[in-house]
Amino acid sequence: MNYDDLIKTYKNGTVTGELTPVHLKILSPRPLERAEELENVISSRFRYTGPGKWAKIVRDYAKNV
Amino acid sequence: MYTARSAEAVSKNNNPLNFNPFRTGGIDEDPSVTIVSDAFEAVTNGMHNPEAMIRLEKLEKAESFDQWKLLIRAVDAFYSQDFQTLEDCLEKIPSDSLAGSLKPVLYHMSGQKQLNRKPTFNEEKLIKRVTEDSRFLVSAAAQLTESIEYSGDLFIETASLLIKEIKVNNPEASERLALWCFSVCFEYSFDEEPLADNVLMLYGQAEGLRLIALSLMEEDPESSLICFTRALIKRLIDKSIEKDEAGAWLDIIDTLMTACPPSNPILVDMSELLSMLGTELSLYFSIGNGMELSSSPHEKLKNMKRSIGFMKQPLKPGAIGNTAIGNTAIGNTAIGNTAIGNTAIGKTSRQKTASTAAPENKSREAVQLELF
Repeated sequence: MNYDDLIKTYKNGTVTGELTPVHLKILSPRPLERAEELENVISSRFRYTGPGKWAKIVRDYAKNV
Repeated sequence: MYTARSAEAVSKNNNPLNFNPFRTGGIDEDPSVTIVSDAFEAVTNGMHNPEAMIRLEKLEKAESFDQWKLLIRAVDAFYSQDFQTLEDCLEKIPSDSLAGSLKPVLYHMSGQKQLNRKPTFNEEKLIKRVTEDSRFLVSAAAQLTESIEYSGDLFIETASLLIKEIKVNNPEASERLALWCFSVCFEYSFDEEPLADNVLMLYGQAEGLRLIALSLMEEDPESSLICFTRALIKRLIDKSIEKDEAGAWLDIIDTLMTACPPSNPILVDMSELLSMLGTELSLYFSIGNGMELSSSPHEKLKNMKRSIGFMKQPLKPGAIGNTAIGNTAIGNTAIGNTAIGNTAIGKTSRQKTASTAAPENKSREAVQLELF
């Protein structure tokens, strides 16, 4: 495992070289790259109502189907 | 892969088409279910995750997952406004299946086929939550970007408010925003100390230090090394870490430290912090503290990894020698003198770190109080 892989894993959000998903978890989340992405991510997160929320919505919805 | 466990789960639901990966208790560890759930979350939370989608496509012999695979593709197409693909996918989902029950809502939200009846309570709730107005957030993001042009103080104040606001419902997005804000501080030479203080206050010491360590990895790896080590010590004190994870933390710390030339003063600071880390590891995992006998920081780290059974990742030094790590003296970079140096984060100077050393005759509590 080397420093370059460490940086790559952090920046790309994917496992690189000898790193494992456990390393990736510590090195997550990956940083935003530019302002435009920031805007998209923020608005998307709210638009999509956040991580796991859809699953919860579907679960709630499915109870009454 | 389609496993016996998921097959059993399907049979319990009688109708394979009605198998719902989100409702089936007790099979959460099933890799197939995890793959489907991850992919579903990936297309619905706004965070691009190509690996999750690739894993979903590779899911073989999983007929009971077909409706969910199609639904995931449909949702992905919905947000991409690719309405042809949306329609193609929805058409293939049997209407009487669980995933198929969402077809009318997706058609309605996409504007392709309006509901010809009044939406049910749950349909209305779902539509409202998915199409929630996000103008405020878009505007806030634009303001944040604009504030960069005015001053560092304004940028950090705006950023801190937005990070706090977002963190309530979107912790991961708020962390990404915080990391981006740090990078802006580096790029525009803003004093990042107030941002670091706010991050510590918002996320707590353990997580705050990890985020600061991440933000420093490229710009100031030496301070990042200190922050990673302190974050790990805090996790051990908080008893919030497993052996595998602790091993990976040690691996990362070791990799960053390997980049420092032997003459770098950071190694003296690290030696002291590593003694403390060794003590916490031995207390938390009830292992012998053999690392005290080691002389070099590298040996100490290797012994720590060995003692908790984590030696799967042997180091390959050499690939890092030409990076910026070894060339920056501690305290000479902006962050060494400001945010990290003056707050509880890094204490990179030797004098400051010396006070955090764990002398033999001090109680563990006393040492912890000094450290945090």
